[in-house]
Amino acid sequence: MFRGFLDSMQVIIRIFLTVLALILVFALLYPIIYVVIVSLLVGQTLIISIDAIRMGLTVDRYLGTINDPDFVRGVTMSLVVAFLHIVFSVLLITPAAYAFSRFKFRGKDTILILYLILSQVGGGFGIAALIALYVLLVKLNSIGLPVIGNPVVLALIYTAWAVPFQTWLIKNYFDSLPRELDEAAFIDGASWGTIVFKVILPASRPAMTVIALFSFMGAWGEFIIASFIKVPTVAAYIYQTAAGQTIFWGDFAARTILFSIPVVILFVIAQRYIGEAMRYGAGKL
Amino acid sequence: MADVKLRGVTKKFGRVVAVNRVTLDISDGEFFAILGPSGCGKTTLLRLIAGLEFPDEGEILIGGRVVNNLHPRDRDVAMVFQNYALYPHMRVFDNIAFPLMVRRRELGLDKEAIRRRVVEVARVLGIEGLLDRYPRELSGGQQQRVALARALVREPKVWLLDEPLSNLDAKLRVQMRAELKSLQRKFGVTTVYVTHDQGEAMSLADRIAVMNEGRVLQVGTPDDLYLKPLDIFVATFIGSPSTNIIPCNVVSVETLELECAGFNLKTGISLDPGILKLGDKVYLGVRPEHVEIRKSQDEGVTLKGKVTIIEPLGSQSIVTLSLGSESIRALTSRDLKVDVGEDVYIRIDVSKTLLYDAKTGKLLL
Repeated sequence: MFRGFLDSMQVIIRIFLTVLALILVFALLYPIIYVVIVSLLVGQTLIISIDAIRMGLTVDRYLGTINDPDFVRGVTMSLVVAFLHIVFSVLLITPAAYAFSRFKFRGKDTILILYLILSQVGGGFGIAALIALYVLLVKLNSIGLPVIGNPVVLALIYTAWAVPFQTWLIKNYFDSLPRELDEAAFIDGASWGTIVFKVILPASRPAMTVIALFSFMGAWGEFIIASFIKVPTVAAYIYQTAAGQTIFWGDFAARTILFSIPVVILFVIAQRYIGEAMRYGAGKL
Repeated sequence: MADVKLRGVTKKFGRVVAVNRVTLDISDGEFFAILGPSGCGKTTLLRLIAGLEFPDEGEILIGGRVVNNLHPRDRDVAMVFQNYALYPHMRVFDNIAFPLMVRRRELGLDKEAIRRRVVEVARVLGIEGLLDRYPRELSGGQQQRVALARALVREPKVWLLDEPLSNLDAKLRVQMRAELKSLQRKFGVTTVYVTHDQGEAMSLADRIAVMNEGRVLQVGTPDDLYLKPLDIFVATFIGSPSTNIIPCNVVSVETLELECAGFNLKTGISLDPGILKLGDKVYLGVRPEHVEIRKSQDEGVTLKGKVTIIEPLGSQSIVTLSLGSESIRALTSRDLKVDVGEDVYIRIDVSKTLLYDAKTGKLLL
């Protein structure tokens, strides 16, 4: 009798938890479902109604976007910037992180703490930095440096932006690698360059994968600075095409869905490494 | 091949003196062990020879050349680390080839020559079948061999081994010990071997330096260290089970009679005059193998004790006895049947005892 009561309680609890989970999943997926429906509607509307759906669904918005040469150019440009950003990050941040991990030098702790603060404070600080950066870029351009429209400059700015956080992430990962690896290579006569790029770096594949992933997402998703210096990335393209007198909601929705696909795919592929790298002190995305 | 000399080498880390005025002469082709408890500075000493640390004072000479400020690369030494330090992303072949690859221009080697040498060394170590594997696919013993091969492939002047066997299980350790010794003989390379395991040092080394708290206390052959430990620390560190140390007072100088905790011992040894005075405090060192247990009071046996612990080792047993207020350990044959709590007679082989000054800890006799 009592046993039967317990069993039925368990069933009720299971039903309750399942329903709760479904509600949570729906709440999290709601914006995406919403955007997908809007992108498929024939009419360019933000409000989903039975009437709007009755008019029919279409993939024309997607086809239109893919066939838009500006979109293709934007994607290409974004890929170039993201690739440059990854290369710069690995080439510039990795040796610095190695030095922070392995050497003793004056001011090391101060810089690391400064990095930590810089990587954690956002908000007003970020806006102030953005304004300063804008003024700097305008000045540089006015003295004739090819800053505006230059993807290399944009990738360098992204890299600078990523320095504090990525340095910490890679440093922590390097800390977990046995020092004997470097020392063995050192005794065998390897140069510092060989040790960092041929021994330590390949031995830290999870950290490198995560750095590449973060760099890619940073470069792919950022549009404010890209708009500032007029580099037509795909994010800037979506931002610019969405603004205006009339907003074509259907097109906008289709573009954002297309825009998010690469990041989703990358996350699925790199999941394993993200978990591992996160354990080495990566506090936030 | 080369000899290694250390002249008054000191290394400090902040206030801690890790290595304190160490002077050593390691001959060409010798298998030399540095033995000591953890934290005694033995690994630091090895790292100083390797060039991973630089000495604060003193000189290090390899093959007659002062190498104090020389890059490790130019010292021509190879090191095997306790955790092997194999490169996880490289196959066994590339791991072994690495020391040759990084200096292939200097050595004037092409890829084919490197391949030949790697395969040759791998064959000597019995790992030629593993060259395509990654380190994570190997057992501990195999990883160990790869690490040894990587250190040998370059034919270095000096081979530095930092506790290379301590990550292996007991059976494999004994097996690798024998192999290591024959490898060292085969290559004839000067070897400095750091360990905290006295059995390992005794069985492998031609000579051993015993270190404690940054100092070298004694250098000698395994026999020297066992038969004549010059320092009380060496006496307790060498030999297993370790030497019994009993605090005593001198009550008669002529016949060297000692009053120890709860019992008296007439040694009948005549010392040179002036070494000891009446009432001096000394430590008596008795190896467990020189303590004999008798069930009956035979002639010349004056000491009486009680069995407190019996630890069977197979062919022998360690029997702990309470003697006066001290407890001493005896190594006995398994044929001797005693029980815990039993009263027994004890004979100490006086001719083999060691006598240490209580103040300095140095050997008197």
